[in-house]
Amino acid sequence: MSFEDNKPQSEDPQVEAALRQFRESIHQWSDEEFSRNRTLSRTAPSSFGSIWQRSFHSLTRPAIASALAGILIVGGAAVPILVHHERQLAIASEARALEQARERERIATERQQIQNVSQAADAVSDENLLSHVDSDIAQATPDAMEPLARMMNDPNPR
Amino acid sequence: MATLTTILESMGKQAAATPEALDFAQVAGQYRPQIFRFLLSSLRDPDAAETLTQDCLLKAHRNWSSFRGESNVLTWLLRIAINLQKDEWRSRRLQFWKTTSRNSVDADDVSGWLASDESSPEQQVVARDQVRLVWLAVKGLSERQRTVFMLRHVEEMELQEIAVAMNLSEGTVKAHLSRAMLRVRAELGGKR
Repeated sequence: MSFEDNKPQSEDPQVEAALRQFRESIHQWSDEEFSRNRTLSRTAPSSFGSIWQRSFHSLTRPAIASALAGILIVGGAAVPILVHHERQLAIASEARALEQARERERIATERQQIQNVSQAADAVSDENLLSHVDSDIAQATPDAMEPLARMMNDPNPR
Repeated sequence: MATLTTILESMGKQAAATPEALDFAQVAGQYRPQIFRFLLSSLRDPDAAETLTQDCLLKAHRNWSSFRGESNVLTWLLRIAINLQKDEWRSRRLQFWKTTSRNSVDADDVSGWLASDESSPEQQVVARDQVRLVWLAVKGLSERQRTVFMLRHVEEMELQEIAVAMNLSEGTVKAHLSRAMLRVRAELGGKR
């Protein structure tokens, strides 16, 4: 049995016409929307606009949006902390380098002073040593060596 | 586009074949426009209709092996679509059909779609006004009355098929349809 056979016989022709118009209107609309949807789904991946739209849609999804918001908040707090930390490290590093330079300069100065003192001391000790040797040489000849010494000192040996 | 009657006749020829023998992809391709149209007319929201059509086919695919062929495939698919539409309707109960929701198309805009066989501008105006009045009447129907009305007068289904698709008795379907038609007649009669 078809749809036409099932219709009430007493249906107003104008109502029937309105229902027919209503049906055809929906069919037209559906056909248009159906073909539009299929076309869009095929062309969507290649166009820039659709990429932007997909990005926008993904942003509007609550889960992704809340995750992004969380990342932004954490990032917003973490970046200044990291920058501050990096700045503190740089300052500490500069101070350490300056301190090391001063220490090196101080050590170099001390070494120079020690070297000068050492040279002065060496000079003094040389003179002492020479005079000590001279004095040792000028000492009296031991008794056993006295005849030999006299012979050496005698200008007219026999 | 093939009417539902011709599709049902073609399905009758396939009745001898077991459901397993039917390729689901072929079935989905064949009935997708009808499912989309029913959901579009029920929701007036092309995006929601497209989403629910995909959900419907996905659900059907998952349960394809359990389809025993007791009803025809379209009735079975529409049954799934009706249940999905009910869920959607419940989730949007507060605004649905009362105010134009974010994506829903207004009845006045929908009435702008007309078949091209109306020759004169006067006939087009009259036809557009009739469509608008039917939409106004449909807006005042309950969920079940609207579903029965759409399946009967847009999808041109038999009362028995509507009863199977909606899991109602044929008498109940007749009662819902009768009340829906009363409202439509009143709307058309009162404004004519």
